[in-house]
Amino acid sequence: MSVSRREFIKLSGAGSIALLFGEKFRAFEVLAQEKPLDTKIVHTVCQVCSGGCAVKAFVKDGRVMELRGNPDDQISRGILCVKGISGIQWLYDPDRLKFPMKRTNPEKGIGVDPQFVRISWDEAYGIIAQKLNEYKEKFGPESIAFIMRPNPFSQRLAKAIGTPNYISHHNTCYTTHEVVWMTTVTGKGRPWTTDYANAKYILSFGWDMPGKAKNMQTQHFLAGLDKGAKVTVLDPRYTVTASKAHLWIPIKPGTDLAFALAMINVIINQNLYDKEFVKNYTVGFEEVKEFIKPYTPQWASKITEVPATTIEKVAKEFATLKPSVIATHKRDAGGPNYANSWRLSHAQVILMALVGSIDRLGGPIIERMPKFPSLDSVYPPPPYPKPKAPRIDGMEKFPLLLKTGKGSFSTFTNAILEGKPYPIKAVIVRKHNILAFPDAPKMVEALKKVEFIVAMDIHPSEMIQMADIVLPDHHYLEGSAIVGRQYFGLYPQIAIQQPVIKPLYDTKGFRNIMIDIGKAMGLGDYFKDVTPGGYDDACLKANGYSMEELKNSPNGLLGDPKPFVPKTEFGTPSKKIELYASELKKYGYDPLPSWKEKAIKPTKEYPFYFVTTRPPVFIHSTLQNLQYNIEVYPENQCYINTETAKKLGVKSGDYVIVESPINKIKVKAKVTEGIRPDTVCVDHGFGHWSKGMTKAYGKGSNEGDLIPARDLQEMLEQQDPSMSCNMNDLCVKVYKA
Amino acid sequence: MNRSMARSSIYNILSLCYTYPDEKVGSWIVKGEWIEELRHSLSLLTEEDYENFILPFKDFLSGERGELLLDLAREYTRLFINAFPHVVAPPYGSVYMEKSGRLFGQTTSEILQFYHQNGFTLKEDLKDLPDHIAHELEFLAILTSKEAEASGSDRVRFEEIQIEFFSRFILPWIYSFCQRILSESRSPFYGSLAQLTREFINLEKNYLGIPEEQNSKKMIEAEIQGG
Repeated sequence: MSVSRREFIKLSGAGSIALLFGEKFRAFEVLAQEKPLDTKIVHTVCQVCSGGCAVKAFVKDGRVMELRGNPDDQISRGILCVKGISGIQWLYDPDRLKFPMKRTNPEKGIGVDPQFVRISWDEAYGIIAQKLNEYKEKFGPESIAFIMRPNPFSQRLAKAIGTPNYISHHNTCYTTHEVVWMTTVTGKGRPWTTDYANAKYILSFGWDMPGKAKNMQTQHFLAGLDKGAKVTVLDPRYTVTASKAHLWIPIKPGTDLAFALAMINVIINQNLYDKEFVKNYTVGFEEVKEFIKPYTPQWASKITEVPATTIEKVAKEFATLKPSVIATHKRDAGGPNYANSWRLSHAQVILMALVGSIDRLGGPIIERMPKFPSLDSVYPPPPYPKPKAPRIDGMEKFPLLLKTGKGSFSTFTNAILEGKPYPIKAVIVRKHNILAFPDAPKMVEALKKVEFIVAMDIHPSEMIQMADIVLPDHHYLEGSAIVGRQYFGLYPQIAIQQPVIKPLYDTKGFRNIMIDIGKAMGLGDYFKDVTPGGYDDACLKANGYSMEELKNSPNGLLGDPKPFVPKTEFGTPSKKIELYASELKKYGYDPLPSWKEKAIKPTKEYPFYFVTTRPPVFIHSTLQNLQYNIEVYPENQCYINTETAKKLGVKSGDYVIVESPINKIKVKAKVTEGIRPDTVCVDHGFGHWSKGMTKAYGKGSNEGDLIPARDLQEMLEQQDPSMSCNMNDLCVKVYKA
Repeated sequence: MNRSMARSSIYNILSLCYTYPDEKVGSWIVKGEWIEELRHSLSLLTEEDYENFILPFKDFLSGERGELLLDLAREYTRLFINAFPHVVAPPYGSVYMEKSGRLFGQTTSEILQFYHQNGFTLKEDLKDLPDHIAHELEFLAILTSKEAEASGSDRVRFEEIQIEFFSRFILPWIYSFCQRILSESRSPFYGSLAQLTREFINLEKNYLGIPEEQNSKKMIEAEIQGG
């Protein structure tokens, strides 16, 4: 350029503008030579669900064009699910949160405009630090609650603040399985890997991962089917899995435990169990043998409405077509759906031990995951202040759940509303949306009582609408991490998550946000030298690798396949599978899965069992704002049996009211033969009232509104170590809208 | 100041007015010195009276400074970032020009490529998309000022670049964008800005000699695709 800068300013007539910025250009800079736009393949990890499928991302001219599964990955095996491939739509959705914002309208609630204004990160941190320190000072650190998944960085911040209140969703999800497996088999955690591909018999108690498009499980399940596995599905509804099964048993909701107990009875009485496995790897067989006597197929038949001969047949097949496995993941009949779910999970462990499939090929596999060191061992913190108050949700009364490190949603809402034992003044919440809580409308009321809400997310969810400060997260295609992955781990394999493109907006990674808030609050001693990258390096080092190796790995993965060595010792006090669970007994719980009914049974007023499911294109209450996904599933439906619909005068496409004792919702009816006449089912993931989500807003209704929030006393009376939220333990009435 | 410089000045002013009114930009807007520059520059381009488009800004800026700043920030966030009931007018070209209504579409790559081909790139720490209206207008401000400095065939070249940029990346969506602001704006500032933008774009269209047929075709497409 031939004119000098000063001359340029003068000439441009926009003197005030140039002076304002002190630079010639605001958004631009001169490019020395023409730069081609990025066209490349980047290895990363899908973060739509917790599965961690390794991904190859195809970038053309700076845009992410396609996501494919990484063929060298034992999880994705070169294939992604429908949710995974829609990650690009999420990345480029105009509704994404783009900049930090603060609320300027103090009023909060459904339909209230927050009147957000954009702010800088520094201003956001300044406000957060000032507010949180103020509450900490005036009301004690326990007045601040974290609502998010466990993460070492946010857990450190919570501990540094000194609050015991770290709330997460797990008792709506899988705590039943987790507590049972921990106490009977593993000592820590539950198996997520199931080797369906090598199974000869697959039995599902309400498990329907193929219907929910869970990638690794669907692939392995179909591989098993291809190789000739026989499949039996117990489910009140004709699910996708049921449609692939050799036998579908439309069992009465919440009675699966009776079926499983009778199976144990048959297998022991008819001497069909694996004597070698039972002798070598289990304890408590004699107790089970005695305990199981009354639970005959005839007894179970009355409860389950399944013929005794069918129960017997399934038991025999399960014990003889080996390896045999019970399919479980989350929110199945043994997941926290019913008050007796944890007992069913225990019965399932006993069944799989009796046929010798635990940690054997063709059975449930205790993961061979990479071991990552704790954050505290990598960056030892100064001593944490000891929390002075008990937890707001009373989880101390559930020591086994506490031991799993997983959380509960059941009692939090009522505790906030009642302000007992103390008021919650501030919450920091990430990605746990209001619609995920039981009785979501009540949660809104509870959050109105909370004075200060910091919310992190990618989309403007309902929680964001309640927030005082909004912090936008990176989308996972913009972030970095290393991922161990647990949903299918026959051998340790680490995958790299790295930015496929640079962040589109002024967003930040979650771990950095936690560090920044800590430092802004004056808790810098806990975060001295702590960086996400440093921690990742340490995790890799602990596995004998380096970041350089991982980055240079031709497929973005580290860890070679290893031959499978079955475990001969387990994580219990006896080092064996404890059929009779001494650990459960020690904490005052039933050491054997005695029959207990589900909590709520049909009445004249609420005559129908209520169950839920999730469409394959969504993950919980996210992804509804993606155009293609919502086009495929534009609203949720209430599945009603043909005969029942006739009595109710309802046709497919009519709207019906589904009403529980606490709330009612309006949904479209879908009349089908594929559900029991005494049961209705509603899809989850709808009913968004955040108008910020333009495509999801107003579509369908949130079935979680029907499920009650509980108080501590109720949870204690359930006598359930896993504090199950009983997400399907409900009866409803249904009538034409 | 010559014609090119006057155009550059107006593009710069518009670009800044479509930038988030943080402390710096907000204060600049509220201070209002740019209004005189705008008036002067417009007077160099046309004999028509633009007072009707300028006066509303004066009126608006007569309010109390703190309130004005909050009003600008709220309204900008509502119109362009995150809003209730929903973002009124996403300031990104691809939302209007791409069938999918998504961000960072094919046209976004193309615009980035266009910047590169013409010797510019977006700053590394920009934290926003290449087809944001503020960046597009700033780019035209740069091109017009370069034209002002150049002579002979260079001058023609810069004009050609402007014509291409203007017809490929501005015209197809700017009217839909302004219309969305006009129909839902609650603050007189952004409503007036949309009107002024529309008028100035009309002027530019004539000045750059964009064939009417091409305009209307592109505009119709934009209406269909941008909603």
